[in-house]
This record gives sequence, C-alpha cells and structure tokens, in this order.
Amino acid sequence: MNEFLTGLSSGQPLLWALSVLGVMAVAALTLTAFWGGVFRVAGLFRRREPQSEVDDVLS
Amino acid sequence: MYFPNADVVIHPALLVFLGLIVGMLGGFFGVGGGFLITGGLLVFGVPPVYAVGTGLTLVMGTSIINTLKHRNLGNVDFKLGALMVTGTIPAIFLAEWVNATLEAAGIAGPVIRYVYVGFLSSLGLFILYDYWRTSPMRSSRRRGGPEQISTLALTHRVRTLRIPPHRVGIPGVGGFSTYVALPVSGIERISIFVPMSIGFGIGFIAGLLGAGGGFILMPVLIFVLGVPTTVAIGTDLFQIIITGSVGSFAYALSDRVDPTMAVLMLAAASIGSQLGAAATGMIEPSRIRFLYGLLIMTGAVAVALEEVSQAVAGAASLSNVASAVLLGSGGGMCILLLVLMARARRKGERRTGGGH
Repeated sequence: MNEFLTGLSSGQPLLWALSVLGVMAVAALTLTAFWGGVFRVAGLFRRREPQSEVDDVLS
Repeated sequence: MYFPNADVVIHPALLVFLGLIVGMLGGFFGVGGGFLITGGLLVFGVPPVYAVGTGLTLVMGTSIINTLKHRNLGNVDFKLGALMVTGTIPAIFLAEWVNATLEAAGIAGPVIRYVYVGFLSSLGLFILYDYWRTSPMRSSRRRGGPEQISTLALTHRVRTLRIPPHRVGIPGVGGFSTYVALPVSGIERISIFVPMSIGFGIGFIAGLLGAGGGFILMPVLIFVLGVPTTVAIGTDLFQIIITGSVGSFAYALSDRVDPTMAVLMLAAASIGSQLGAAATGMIEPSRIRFLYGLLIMTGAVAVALEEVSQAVAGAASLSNVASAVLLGSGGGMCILLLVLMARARRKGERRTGGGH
C-alpha cells in the first residue's frame, strides 16, 4: 500500500491530485451523512422518553 | 504509524487528538483549522511543505462538514463567499509557487513559521484589544441588539467605497452594476471589488501558510466588512472549501500531501464539528471573538517555540513545549466550550439572531 501511494503520487500527479480531492470530499460527505443519521435517531429516542415531571405539572 | 507520502512516523493518537480539536474549534470559530493543523503537524515533525499541503487537504474536508452544519443554521452568505472566491483561486496558485521557490532555497520552514507567528500574534492582540475596548458598550446593550465592535467607522467606510468601473458591459448580454446587496450579511450595497480583493489577499496568505485562510478571513469579515459574527463563521467556512480544495490540489500536484494522515484526522474532526457548530447558537458573539483571540495567541506562541527549538542549538526540548502549548490550549479551549454549552443549556439561553 505504501509503495502504491508513493508510486501514484510521484508517477501520476494529476490523477493523484484528483484522487486526493475525491477521497476527502467523499469522506467528508459520508461523515456528515453519518452524523446526521446518528442525531436523527437520537432525536427519535428522545421523543419517545416518558413525560418529565415538569410536563406533568403543566398538564 | 508510518505515513509514506510525508515519510514520517507519528503516533496515530496524536493525529486523532489534533483532529478532534480542529473539528470542534473549526465548527465553533468558523475556521478551517489550518493554523492549528499546520502548527500541530510542524511540531509533530512533519516536513513543513507537507504540513502545509496536508493541512490544506484536511481543511477542505473539515470545512465541507462545518459548512453543511452552518448552512442548516442559516449562517452562510453564499453570494459573499462566491465573490471572494474569484480573488482567492489565482492567489493560491501564486502562493504555492512562492512556497516551492522558498523550499528550493531551503528556507521554507523558517519563513512559514515567522509569517505564522507574526500574523497570529498581531491578529490575536487586535481581537483581545477589541473585546476590552467594547466591553463598556456590551454591558449596556440590550439582548438581541446589534453587536458592538471597535471598527464600526472602518466598516462603514469599506462598505461605501466606490471602486471603478461602476458598470461592466458584456457584448450581447448587456451591462450590470458592480455593486451588489448582501442581505444575509446585512450589507445593503457594496462594490464587488471589495470582497474580491479580500479574497485575493486571504487566498495568498492561506496558500503560503497552508491554511484555509479562515483564521484571518473571519476577523476581516467581522471587523472590516461588519458582517455579524455567526454569518462570518458560516460564510468563511464556505469560502474555505474552495481555498482548501484549490490549495490541496496545487500541493498534491507537487506531491506535497499525505492523504492517509488527512483522512485519519478528518474522521476525528467530524466528531468535534458537531459540537462546535451547535455551540455557536449558545454562546454570545463577543465571547466567541474573545475566545478566538486567545486561541490564535497561543497558536503564535507554539509556533514561535518551535522556531526557536529549530534555530537555537541545545533548545530542541522546546519543541515538546510547543506541542504541549498547542495541543493543551486547543484541548483546553474545547473543554471550556463544553462547559459554556452546558451552562447555557442549564440557563435555557438561546441567543436571538443578533446582527449589526
């Protein structure tokens, strides 16, 4: 893997540069989607929690 | 862990820690984190030009994550960001050529560090001075009122600059005014050449120092253009995507990027970004600016210590002190933010969208 990376970076600079941008963009979007999903699921769990004492008092 | 492109061995936990800090501080302060990343990689022993190139690559990734988060909060002025980008792109290529020239002359490391120290310390001192100067005004302003900064006269002067040509004609299409409104930033009318010039200057410095430029752009947007703090945060993150991408591309073309290092740090940064962006809605803008000033001052101290450790015989141990200062202050800032968020949550505070 190390040889592949160093070989690509020195032998195919344009492909290397585009690959670097592509990998980072995909990684960033994937991580954003992942955390978005995590928070959405966490929000669903929070809404299912039993009513708090405050809610009981108000109702 | 061995990183083949940079030809350096670094413990991965250090990179994960740096990524966490960068993500949180980037999401909170609206910076790509380049000054922290490049500074941190320099103290970890990464060759300077690889620190710059890898820093820009990570900056690109973290700014994508943070911009998407801030877009959902309504903090991104895409029009302003697009105008700045037109000046930024050519400047970055110019900066990369300057860096390559400095590297060939064997002085890239010291020059980058000296410029870093100069910029960070000047900027940090100004921001702290502004906080001190505006504190009497802050104590009397009503909640939700306009932010107080010490450069209101300057921002008015910059916004009302008249720069020719005032109209540009395109054959077959027609003419258009070179003045635009930027409602998200609260600017009624401004010459397009102002943000383009700002973009050019920021792009050159960013390309030279291996940063997205956010650490300079954010205060410029606030203190020169008078953009509200939260909009400055979101907008410069958007602009940093472009500077980071162009810079990363330029440095990768010259084989000066280690993507393995960048991806590892990005994974950690994504965690911190979520907290950082959320914190901007819970902490007062003036306090955000004060903390920002503190942060970049410590960045300047760390890079200065690293330079001394390299330049002075027998002072190599200062390099460890530099890494301790940088990571310690970054980590400490993150803990402070978490504490402030917890307090704000307990008090039930929500800042009403303040602006100028």
